[in-house]
Amino acid sequence: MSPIRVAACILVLTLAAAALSCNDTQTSSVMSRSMGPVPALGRRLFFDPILSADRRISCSSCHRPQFAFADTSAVSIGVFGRKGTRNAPSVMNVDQQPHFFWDGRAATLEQQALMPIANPMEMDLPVDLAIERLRSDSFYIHAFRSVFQRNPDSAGLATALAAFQRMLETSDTPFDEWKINDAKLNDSAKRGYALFNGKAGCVRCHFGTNFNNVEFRNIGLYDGKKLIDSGRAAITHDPRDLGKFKIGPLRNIALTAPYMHNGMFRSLREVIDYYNDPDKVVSKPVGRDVFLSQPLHLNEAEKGDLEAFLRSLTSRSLIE
Amino acid sequence: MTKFPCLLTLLLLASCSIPPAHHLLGKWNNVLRRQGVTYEFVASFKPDGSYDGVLNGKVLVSGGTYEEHGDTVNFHDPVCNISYTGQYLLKYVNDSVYFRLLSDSCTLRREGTDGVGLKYLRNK
Ligand code: HEC
Ligand code: HEC
Repeated sequence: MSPIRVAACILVLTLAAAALSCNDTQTSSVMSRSMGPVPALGRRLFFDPILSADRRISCSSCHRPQFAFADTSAVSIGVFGRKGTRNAPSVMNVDQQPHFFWDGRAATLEQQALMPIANPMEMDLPVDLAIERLRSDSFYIHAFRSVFQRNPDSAGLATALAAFQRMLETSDTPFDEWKINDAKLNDSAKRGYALFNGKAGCVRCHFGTNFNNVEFRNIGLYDGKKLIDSGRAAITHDPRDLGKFKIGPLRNIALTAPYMHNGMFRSLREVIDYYNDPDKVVSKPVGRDVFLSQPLHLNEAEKGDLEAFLRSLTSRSLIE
Repeated sequence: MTKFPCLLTLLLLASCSIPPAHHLLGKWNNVLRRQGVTYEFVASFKPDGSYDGVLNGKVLVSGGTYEEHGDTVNFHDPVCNISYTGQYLLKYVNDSVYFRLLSDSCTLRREGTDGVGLKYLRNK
C-alpha cells in the first residue's frame, strides 16, 4: 500500500470513528439503540449535514442529543452563521403532538421534516436539490431501495426523519416512577407537584402526558414593541391569536434551557420568577392570558419545590 | 359428563379477572390500536379515594379523587379545575366498566370519559 493510501485510510477511519463515537453518552445511546430500518435510516439522515447547503449543518446541530434534542443558544444558528428568531425545542416526546413549531404551522412530523431543510435561515437547501444529493450518494441509494423499494424521494425522506423522532419518547422519570410504582421521590419535588396543580396553577395549561395540551396560549411575551413575534396569529390571521404560542411540553425540561419561543429565559428559575410576577419582566403585554393576571406569591422555598418537580421529569436515560 | 368440569374450569379462570364486587377499586385498562400504534391507558382507583391515569407509561392525570355512590361516580381532578365535579353512570358488563355522562363541565375530561370502557386488570 502506498503511503498516501495509508494516510487516506487513517483519515477515513478517524473521521468514521469521530462520527460514530460521539463525545457524549446520550448520543451514543441513541446511536446504538436498535431500531427498525425506517427509523434507523431517519437517524442517519438526522445526523447527516448532507441535507444543508454548506454541508455543515445537520438536524442535530440545533437539536442536540445531549440536551434532549434541543439547542443551548437562545436562537439557533443555521448555514453560513445565519441567526434565526426562535429557540429550537426538543424533538423528544413528539409522537403525540398535534402541532409542530411554536406557532403550530405543521400538523404532522412528516410535513415538518422537510421545512428546516428548505428554510434559508436553517439548512437552506431546496428539497429537490436535497433529493438530488441523496440520489447521487451510493449509501442512500442503497438504503432507500432496501427500506422503501425505491430511489430517494421527498416522501421517503420525510417518513424516515419522522419515524426516527417518534422513537424518542421518554417515560423513565423519577416522577412517573413515583406515580406508577410508588417509587421514592424527594419531598421537594412532591411539594412542587402539589404547587403545579394548585397554588401555581401550571396544570391549567400544562396538562397531559407531556404536560402541554393541544392549545396555543399567550403568557405575555408579546408587547408589539420589543417582543414582536406575533406567534399563532401569523398562521391563523386571527387577531385574537396575537402572542399565542404552543404550550411548551415539560418532559426533560431541565436539559433544554434556554426557554420560551425566543429563548429569553436562561434557567428554570427565571421561568418560575416570570410566572410568579409577569409584570416585573414584561410590563405592557398584549393579550396576556387571564390565568396569569395575578402574581402567584410563591416564596423562595416554593419556587425551589416547583423547580424540583420540573427536574423530576427528566428521563433517566439522559442523565445516567 | 366431561362437559361440566370444563365449564367449571372456564368459569374459574374467567373469575380470576372479574372484580370481586362491582366497584372501581383496582387497576383497569383500555387498549386501542390506531394507525398501527398501540395505546394503553391504565386507570388506578386506590383505596384512599384517589386515582391516577397513565397512557403508554406516562402519567396522564393524577391527583384526582373519586367517590362511588351506588351506580354513579363523582370525579374531581386537576384536568380543568379540581373543584369541578364530573358525574358519571357506571355500567359493569363482564370484566369491564363503562362510563356514561351525567354531568361534567370539563370538556377535556368529558371527551376522555363519556362512553369509554375499561377492562379490569387486578385488585391493586
Ligand atoms: C438551524 C437550526 C435548526 C436546524 C438545522 C433544524 N432545526 Fe428543527 N427547529 C429549529 C427551530 C428554531 C425550531 C422552532 C421554529 C419555530 O417554532 O418556528 C425547530 C422546530 C423543530 C420541530 C418542532 C418541534 C415541536 O415540538 O414543535 C421539529 C420536529 C424539528 N425542528 C425537527 C427538525 C428536523 C427533522 C431537522 C432536520 C431536517 C431540523 N429540525 C433542523 C431549529 C433547527
Ligand atoms: C396560560 C397558560 C399557561 C400557564 C398557566 C402556564 N404556562 Fe408555561 N407555557 C405556556 C405557553 C403558551 C408556553 C410557551 C410560551 C412562549 O414561548 O411564548 C409555556 C412555556 C413554558 C416553559 C418553557 C418551555 C420551553 O420549552 O421553552 C416552561 C418551563 C413552563 N411554561 C413552565 C410553567 C410553569 C412552571 C407554570 C406554572 C407556574 C406554567 N408554565 C404556567 C402556557 C402556560
